[in-house]
Amino acid sequence: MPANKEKSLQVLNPGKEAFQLYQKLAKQKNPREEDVGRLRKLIVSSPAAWWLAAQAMPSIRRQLLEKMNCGGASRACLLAEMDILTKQLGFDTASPLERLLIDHILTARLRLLCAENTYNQCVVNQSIPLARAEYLDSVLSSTQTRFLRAIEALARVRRLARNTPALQINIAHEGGQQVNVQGDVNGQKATHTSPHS
Amino acid sequence: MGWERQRGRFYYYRKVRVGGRVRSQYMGTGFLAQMFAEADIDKRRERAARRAADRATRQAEAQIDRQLADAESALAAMTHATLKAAGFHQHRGQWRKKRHASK
Repeated sequence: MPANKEKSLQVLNPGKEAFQLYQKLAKQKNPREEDVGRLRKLIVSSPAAWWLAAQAMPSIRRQLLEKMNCGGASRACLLAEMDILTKQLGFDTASPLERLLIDHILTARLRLLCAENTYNQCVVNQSIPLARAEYLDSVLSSTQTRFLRAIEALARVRRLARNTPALQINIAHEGGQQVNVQGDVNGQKATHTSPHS
Repeated sequence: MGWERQRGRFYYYRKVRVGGRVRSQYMGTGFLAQMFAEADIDKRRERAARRAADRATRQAEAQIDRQLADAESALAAMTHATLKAAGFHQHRGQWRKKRHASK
């Protein structure tokens, strides 16, 4: 039967199952231990859950670039901006979760550029109907909000990871004093603080 | 539509909206009226094509936004799960580390 087949396929997709299970557990105050254990196993064991989000972003970015229909030079500039942003956010030395969040930031940034481009093309130097102007305005607002949300998510994870002993980087020499590093550990903006400074 | 027949002759009226009401604007008869009518038809076609293009653009944008929202919610779920697994919990929307969490 098609319904049963669909159900069996849903169960076989670990990424989707992990996502659905998470959504279910997020709503419950006292979740069952089996469910928590199952979700824990799914997250640890299935790279599919990570793959789900990781694969979606490049595809969306490709679609956005196609939609913008910009020339070779503009395309190169856009891609260069993405590369600069990737480097600034420290993609190469980031943890897997941070990499996914950076990937999301890049996509949200490209969506914002696309919305700004459409807005400028439509609104500047021509009159458009009020309904269309309202639509363009709402799209611009929502893409800006999404971009900010993506940056906040990365900042939150980095802030929390800084206080997690497992993620702390020991840079002291033998016999020396551990110096705590705050801020961007990959870039030049890192500020070194020690109790004696 | 714009053509009105009176006493066996055809007259062309352009319909315009003035202050929320539709007004008939007399454009003439004969060859000149025919030209005005054709120009109006062209304008209507152009507007319809623009509307269709806008609709297509909106649909494409909505599809991309839907994909982005799906990926975003999946990413949020994974982030939450990872933080919970690392011993964090949410207190009134703020992420905190459990005091006696096992390291």
